Amino acid sequence: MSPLLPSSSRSGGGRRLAWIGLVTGCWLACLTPPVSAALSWDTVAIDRTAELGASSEEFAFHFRNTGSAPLTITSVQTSCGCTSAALAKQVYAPGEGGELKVTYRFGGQVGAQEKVVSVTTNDSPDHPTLLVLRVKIPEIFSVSPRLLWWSVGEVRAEKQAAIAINPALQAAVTLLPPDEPGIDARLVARPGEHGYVLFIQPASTKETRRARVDLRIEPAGLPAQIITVYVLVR
Amino acid sequence: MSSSVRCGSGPLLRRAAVQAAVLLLAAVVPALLTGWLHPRRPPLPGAAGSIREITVADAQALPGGRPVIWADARDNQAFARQHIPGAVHLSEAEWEQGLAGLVAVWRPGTPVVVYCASHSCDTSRAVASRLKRELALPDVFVLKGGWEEWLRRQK
Repeated sequence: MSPLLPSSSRSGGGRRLAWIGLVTGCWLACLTPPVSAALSWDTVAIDRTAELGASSEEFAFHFRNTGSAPLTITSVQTSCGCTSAALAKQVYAPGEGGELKVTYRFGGQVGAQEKVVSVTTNDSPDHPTLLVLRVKIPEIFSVSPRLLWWSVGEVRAEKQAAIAINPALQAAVTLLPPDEPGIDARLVARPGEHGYVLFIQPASTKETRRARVDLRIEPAGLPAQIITVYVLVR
Repeated sequence: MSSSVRCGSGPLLRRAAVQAAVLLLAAVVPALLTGWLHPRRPPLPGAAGSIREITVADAQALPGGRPVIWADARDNQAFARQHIPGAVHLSEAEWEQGLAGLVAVWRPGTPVVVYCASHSCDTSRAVASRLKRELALPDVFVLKGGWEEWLRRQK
């Protein structure tokens, strides 16, 4: 007799079948995603690659009230201030469909990004649906580091920041004058490396100083952007 | 008689062990799948670009009494409602503006502690990673438990 299953007059083969059925049932229960009683989504995850130079991306999540009673979407929450979600209305009749529009403003984010929108309905207030949007945002350029600093009294050695341009783009980079006097800045192209180096040196490190050095980056066919490198003596 | 008991217990124990192993497997495999596929999987300790977590108590008692710069990664409205005294607003939506504000108060050797709404939000980690990448600051932390934990500690 099995110590874990109730004894019965079934044969060993029958018990084995029951055991396999039990395990399979547990598996199916584990693998079946939680389903809302009434709200059915066409998809709960969207993957996309943004166009080079895009500043935002829009997503549409379609749904339908498959229940027999009116359904109210009580809450839509986004995981980040850079993401906003809009619904045409909150109450949907049985059989009625709708669309949740989500706008993700990149705000300078690059690389693989994932944002989550949590949707709660009156039929399952404790189990919100999580909608996931994944976007690969190509980087047009990078400046690293964007903060160059010296301690007060430190030797005023020249420091540098690297500017890398996306190899798929041609871009003109212009150094704008620092906003404070006493900062020497020069921009040097890196031959064959599709980038530049910004060299900065304060005229003195005897007292505290704060300045901004702006770079104007004009990628071909895309709007120009200004990026700031901060200079501190502290 | 005792020998017959010993003979009978062997297969029972073996079967129990097999059943326990099957049950364990049936639990572990879905757990691993869930951990892998979950859209809001929490980061593993030491992962995610080596951004370290710090508790409210530890942030307020750094060696040498060093102060920290609090960086609030929540949205505008939440920051405007209430924030940690002296915190700068640094959200990804208004990054450049926030960055200028942070640089204005930063001093060499001052750690930056980024927080978002609660334990379950992930924006503080994203902001901290970006801060570290763009400014190359040596000491950037994420506040464990976020704003909720800060509030709880004030009571």
